[in-house]
Amino acid sequence: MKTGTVRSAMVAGAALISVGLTGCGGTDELPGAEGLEGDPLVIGVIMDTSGTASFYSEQAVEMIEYAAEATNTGEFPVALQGLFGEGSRGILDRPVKIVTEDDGSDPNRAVQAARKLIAAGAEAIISTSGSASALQSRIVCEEEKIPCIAPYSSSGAIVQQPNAGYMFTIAPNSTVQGASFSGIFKENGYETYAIVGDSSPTSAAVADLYKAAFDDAGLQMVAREVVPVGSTDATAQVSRVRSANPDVVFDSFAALSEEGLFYKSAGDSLDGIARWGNNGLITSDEPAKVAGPDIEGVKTLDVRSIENAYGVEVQDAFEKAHPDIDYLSWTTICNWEAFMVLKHAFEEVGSTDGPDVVAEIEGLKDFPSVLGPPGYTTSFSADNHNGSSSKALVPVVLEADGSIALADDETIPD
Amino acid sequence: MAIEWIDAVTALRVGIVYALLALAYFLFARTTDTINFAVGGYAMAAAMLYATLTGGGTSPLVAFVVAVGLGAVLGGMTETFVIRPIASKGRDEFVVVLAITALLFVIQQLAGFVFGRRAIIGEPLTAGRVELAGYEVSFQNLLTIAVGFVAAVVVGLWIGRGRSGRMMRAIGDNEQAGLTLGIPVRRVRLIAASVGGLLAGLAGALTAPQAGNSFHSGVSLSIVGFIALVIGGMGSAYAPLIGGVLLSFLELGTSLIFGSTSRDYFLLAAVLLVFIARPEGLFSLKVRTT
Repeated sequence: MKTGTVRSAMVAGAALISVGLTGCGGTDELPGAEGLEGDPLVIGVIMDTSGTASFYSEQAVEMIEYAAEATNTGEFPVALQGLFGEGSRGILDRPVKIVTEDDGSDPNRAVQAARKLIAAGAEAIISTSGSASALQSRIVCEEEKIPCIAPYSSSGAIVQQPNAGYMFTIAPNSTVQGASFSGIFKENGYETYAIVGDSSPTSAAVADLYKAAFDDAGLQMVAREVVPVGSTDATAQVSRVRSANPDVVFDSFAALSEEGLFYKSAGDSLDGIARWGNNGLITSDEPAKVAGPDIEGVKTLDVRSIENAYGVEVQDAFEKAHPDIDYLSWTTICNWEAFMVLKHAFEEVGSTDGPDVVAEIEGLKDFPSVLGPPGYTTSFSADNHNGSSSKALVPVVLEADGSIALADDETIPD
Repeated sequence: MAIEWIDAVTALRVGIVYALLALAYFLFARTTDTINFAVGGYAMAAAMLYATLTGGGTSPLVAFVVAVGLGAVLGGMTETFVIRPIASKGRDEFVVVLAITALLFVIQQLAGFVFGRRAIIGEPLTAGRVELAGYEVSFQNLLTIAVGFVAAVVVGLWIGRGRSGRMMRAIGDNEQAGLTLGIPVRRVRLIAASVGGLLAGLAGALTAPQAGNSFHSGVSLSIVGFIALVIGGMGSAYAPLIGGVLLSFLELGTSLIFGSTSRDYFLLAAVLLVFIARPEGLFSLKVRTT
């Protein structure tokens, strides 16, 4: 073979691989839909296979596909069997088809991805990409009058007008979490805090939201530090936090590796200072792996409770279906809830009419939830498109090996 | 904010890694006339390979050698399959830089595909700590400084006094003249590119146990290496070493004194200052023309 031919083949191969890695696609297979008739009802999913949200986005898509299969087969957990009725399969008795589009967590591509999904027949869109992407794609949802859910997007701005009429979120957002953290800090008698994040725009925005919540609660910020994304050391940031001597250090990292680096660099030098992190800390095992044993004692708020039988049932079944998953992100289970909210709304309306489905979701009260402690439910209203409350949150503490334990000594004040 | 001597050790450790990346840039620039933005990708790939291998139980020393070797292979492949083919067609340097930048993103995505999309951290080459003047310093940190420094000096000596190093400089000054003199240009370019990749791989393997390594960290590594090169200049093989260490001291010093939120402003100011006052870097290249 000539050198030029070899080179051309290699270039073509590389191009194919890169397209395969970053490209998009759907599936023609409808697992579990045997026997269901009618055109498939298409749920579009914006995913990230190549950007910063790729780890939990890929797991989220697997959960949505799992939910679609369970819906097609009609195998629902006990908590939902009464709600959907015996023998309920699919949505509106139609098989459910999941179609995905990749936006790489790029807000500009998110708009295009949403439009492509709608062109592919999506009657609703679930965004599993980053918050910034959901902020952009919601404009398309509004224009096309398609119900959209960004299940675990943390930015409170996503469900704030304008352009939020067709967008919903499931997990407690930064507004809810900010109030919860403030309550805990006040309850513990903390007066001063330091906030540490990374240099990404997401982390800066989240830090601003938490800072506003802490300031409103009367806490005083004594240090604000940033670990640049890509850093290999964070001792300067640790030194400044230590010298400011706050009662509590709060991390607002979006970059999980840098979050771990901060705690690794801190070692035991922040002993005596309470350490709390936003729930990015348990989105993946990255922070704990990078920090090693130095992660021990850091607290955060989870949305999962081992006492919630419905949530545990869904998680266990999902993990059984995906034995390759070695770390289940808290974000993953939120997608189950998003899917079931959509099924319920479509069926209550009896059609896929976007405005009617949105009105139905806005009227949804006390929907059985996989999140929070037993008895916690999801509720929306026309003014509140975030279906959660602080009651969904469970204080947890990280162990030296990165495992999560209940923080029995912490409570979220009402 | 008190600054302790131990902060200088940290800055030196980080600066040595920056210097290795800058030296990798230097080698590509001197021989192929190309600013190879993919060096951060080589370092990232080497770091992820090292972390994956040590995480799987491979001896850190073996993993280190394999990871550094990966850097060398990637450097050589870049010269063979990207830089030389484009340059030989007489295309503008901009096209080469564009292709290399695309290569960086391809390496990142391939690394994400092969090593996973979660950050991973490697086992240290050597465990344990030593107490120095009231502070505990890890052997890994001391090893990073020592290995990085020795590598930079060896490459400096090779360029300055080694046979192929001198040929490399000759090609960098005038490739056509080098050809006329019978210098094996292709081979020398390949050696230089492989050594450049090896240095980037070394930077990655040394960093792998220090921090999380993720598939998208190639860009940030490329950026810091480039800034170190800009500060140090291309006047000598030791210029990138000084540029890297200066950059790291600037980063850490401004973070400690003024806070990390102001760090980027100082870095930008420093780079602008270099561009204005000494656009060729602190150490400029002098080529004899007569």
